[in-house]
Amino acid sequence: MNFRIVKTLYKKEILDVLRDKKTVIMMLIVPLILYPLMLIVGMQLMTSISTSMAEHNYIIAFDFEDEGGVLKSMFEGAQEEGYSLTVVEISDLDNALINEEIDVYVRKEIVEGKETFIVTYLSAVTNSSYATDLVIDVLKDYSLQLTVDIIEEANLDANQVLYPIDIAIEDRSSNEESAGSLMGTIVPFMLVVSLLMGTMYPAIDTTAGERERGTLETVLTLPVTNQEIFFSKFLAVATIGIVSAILNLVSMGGIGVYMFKLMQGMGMDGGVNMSQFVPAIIIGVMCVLAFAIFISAISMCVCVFAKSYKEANNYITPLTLVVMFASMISMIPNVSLSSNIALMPVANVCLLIRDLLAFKFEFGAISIVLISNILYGMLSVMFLGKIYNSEAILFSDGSTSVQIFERRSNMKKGGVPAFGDMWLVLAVTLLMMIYVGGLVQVDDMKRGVIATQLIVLLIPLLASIYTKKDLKKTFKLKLPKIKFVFGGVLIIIGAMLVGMILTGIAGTIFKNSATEMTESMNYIMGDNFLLALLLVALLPAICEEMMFRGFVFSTFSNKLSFGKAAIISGVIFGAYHMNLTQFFATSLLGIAICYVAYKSESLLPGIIMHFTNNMIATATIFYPDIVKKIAPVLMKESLYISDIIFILALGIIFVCLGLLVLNIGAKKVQKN
Amino acid sequence: MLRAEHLVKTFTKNEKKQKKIQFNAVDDISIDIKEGEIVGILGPNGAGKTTLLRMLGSLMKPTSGKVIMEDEGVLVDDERIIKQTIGYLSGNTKLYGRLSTRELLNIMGNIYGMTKEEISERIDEICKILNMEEFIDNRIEKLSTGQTQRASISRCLMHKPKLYIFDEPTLGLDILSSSAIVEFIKNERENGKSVIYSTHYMEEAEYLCDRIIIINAGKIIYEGTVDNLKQEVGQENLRDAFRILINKEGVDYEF
Repeated sequence: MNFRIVKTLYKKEILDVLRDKKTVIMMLIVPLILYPLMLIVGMQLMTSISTSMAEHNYIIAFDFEDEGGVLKSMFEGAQEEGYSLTVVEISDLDNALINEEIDVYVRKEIVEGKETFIVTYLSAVTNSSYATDLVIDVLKDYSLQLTVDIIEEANLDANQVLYPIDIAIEDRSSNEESAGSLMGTIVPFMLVVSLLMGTMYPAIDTTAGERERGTLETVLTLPVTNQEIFFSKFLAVATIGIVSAILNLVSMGGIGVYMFKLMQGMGMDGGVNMSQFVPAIIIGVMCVLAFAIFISAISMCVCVFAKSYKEANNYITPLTLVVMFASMISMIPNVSLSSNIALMPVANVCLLIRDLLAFKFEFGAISIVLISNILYGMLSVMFLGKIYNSEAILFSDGSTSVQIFERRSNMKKGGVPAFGDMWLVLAVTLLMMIYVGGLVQVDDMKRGVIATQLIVLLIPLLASIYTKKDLKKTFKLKLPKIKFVFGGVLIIIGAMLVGMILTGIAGTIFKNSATEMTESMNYIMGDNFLLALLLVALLPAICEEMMFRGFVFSTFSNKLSFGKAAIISGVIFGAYHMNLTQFFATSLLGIAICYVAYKSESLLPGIIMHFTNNMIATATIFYPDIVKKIAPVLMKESLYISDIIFILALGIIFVCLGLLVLNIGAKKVQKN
Repeated sequence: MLRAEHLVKTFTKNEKKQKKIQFNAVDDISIDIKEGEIVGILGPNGAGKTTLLRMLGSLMKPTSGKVIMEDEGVLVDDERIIKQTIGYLSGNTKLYGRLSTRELLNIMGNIYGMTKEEISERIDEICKILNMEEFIDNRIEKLSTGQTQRASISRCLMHKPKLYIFDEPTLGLDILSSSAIVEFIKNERENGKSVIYSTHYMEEAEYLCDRIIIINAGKIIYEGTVDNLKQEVGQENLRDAFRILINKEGVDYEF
């Protein structure tokens, strides 16, 4: 990629987009004029409504004889803050209430031997509701007055009897903390939505818009590559998204300061020291930048498929709804940033900003959110680069790498899945896992595990069947030679040992997720070892192998060399487990299994390898004593350098033995 | 100058009964363009002219075959170098309406790797050649059709290409504008530039081209001079000769 060209194209995109009226409206007019205007008008409206409510004269009637006019005088005497109550005498009370001649009437009944006042009102009429509150207040006073009378008749101190203790509150949260937690509920939502709105129009304009205006072919006549075109467009969209988010924040900040001054002017206490928010803002900005990359790439991915501005608008609406929905998570109280939510795109950023504003700094959570957002951003940029094949977009070549949206009767039979389809299936599976699997898991751990595995199995399988792919070839449905099973098991034991060291190192860095992992495993399994073996060893071994060594690896190895295909699908396999501590070890295991699957052209050795790995992991949790006897070094609390070297050496020996079994076999076959 | 060897471009087309069929829009075409010659590419609609020109300009990758450029005695097949030597203009290469012609030319110059001084000098030169002083700083979306076409041509001139590929450059223009373009092309030949030129206007082709290539259904059906074709078919003008040739191919072609 030539950066001079990227820079020039980037400048051109920015200039072109900025001169579009729609972008300017979204970027400048909405945040800088519309928001403050809406707020000021809204505040004025609220004030005038509440003033008119307070100054109103409410009409009340009684459905009983008010002896001596005690209640009447209490009601009419209770005139505060401008409102007044007037008691009238009307015969048909229900009619009067419905015709809004009176706002409320009070009946009296004896319920369980007790005199009960029933306030009858219309909840649909604002004045009636407001009057009810006032009437109830007066009746409470009346009730209190009666109590006091009774106590005093018994010659007691009413105050002492009614309130033997006094209660007072004292807020130890600093003004900054209360202001922060208040901002935390709304700022993340506004930020995410404004970021999305800011990227939406440039994303449509630079992709579908360019296509509609026919300028892409002009760019293609220049000595530039597709990668340079797409990358400069992506940078431009991300820049505009970030700038518009900043403008939104500035505008919101301005409104905040204005309201703060207003409160101070009204004599309310609120000395907030803005400098205390600086660390939160710095970390927040980093996460928001990573998120901006992600959201820009995602909205461009959606728009690339559209032929026109209109079509792109239709495609991006569902995305907007999903993002808005997910970003509302910060408004739900008591949802904390657990390590599962820390991996949910959109939701994680919102919760992190909320925590940061409330001065909760957790290194583990921050790093997971930051890393996962950078990772999602990179993945979506990579995906965008893959689907951004200008020739296919511009000339509608017909040979797009996304086949799944084609007419089914047009799909060719056989072969392995197309590249674009694979990415799409991966994305859908990941989302389904996080949202559907996650939701079921909240309800019931076991069912959640089964649901997640079925999603992992069924989505690629159904996609392959729908696109008429060769299932035998894609999922490597073939009986392997027995040597691959033995060799595979040896390799997986070796890889596990090496992986243990990797997990150990990662575990010391990300302590947070290491403990959570063990806890959640204990929770699923309960006491039943066989059930645990079925749920966390056998089921994933089958489903995940079908997905990763079947669907994903077959697609990659069809296009790329074995090395690249194995590493990429291994890393995807590692990322899929959504656990930073496990990431390196599972990626390594993934690559090892890819190798055996590649050699044996069968999925079965991989399933057995996967099962072996999961079974050993399960056994160490269920029967730690037995494992300790067999392999004491595995169960040590802390490892010395000598132990690490020993485990690594052992691991490498196992891997070499495994490779030997695979390859000696191969030579024999050749000799025969 | 530019040589195409056995170019094939296969597309997949949806037929009426939703069956997908593959067809070759360009079917094994080899062309050799020499320095200082104007070659006309003629053919009925859908013959594969635009696909061929796109492949020659490296906008589109051929399914098989290759495009080679001879650059100062060296043969290259690098897309970047080929694009660097070609000025490509077609009805589909629209301009950025929100930019001015000067801004556009600046961007083009930058991408072609020219220095600031080179760019501003070249813009002044082009401005004079194409007579664009009055509108060079206006937004392109505000220009008239003729002015837009001149702006389009200026884009192709920016990097002083050795070869022009023009896909129907006079389509939809009035006589004045189109004759200005025809004269421009003729001038560029005098300067030793090569031109590959596709058109539906036979008079233009007859007036300009040193050599014509007529293609139908992705294959070359005639290659040679205009005079030669007229003699072969026994007609007085290219228009009639073309029609007879095309009709022989089984295409019902009427003007």
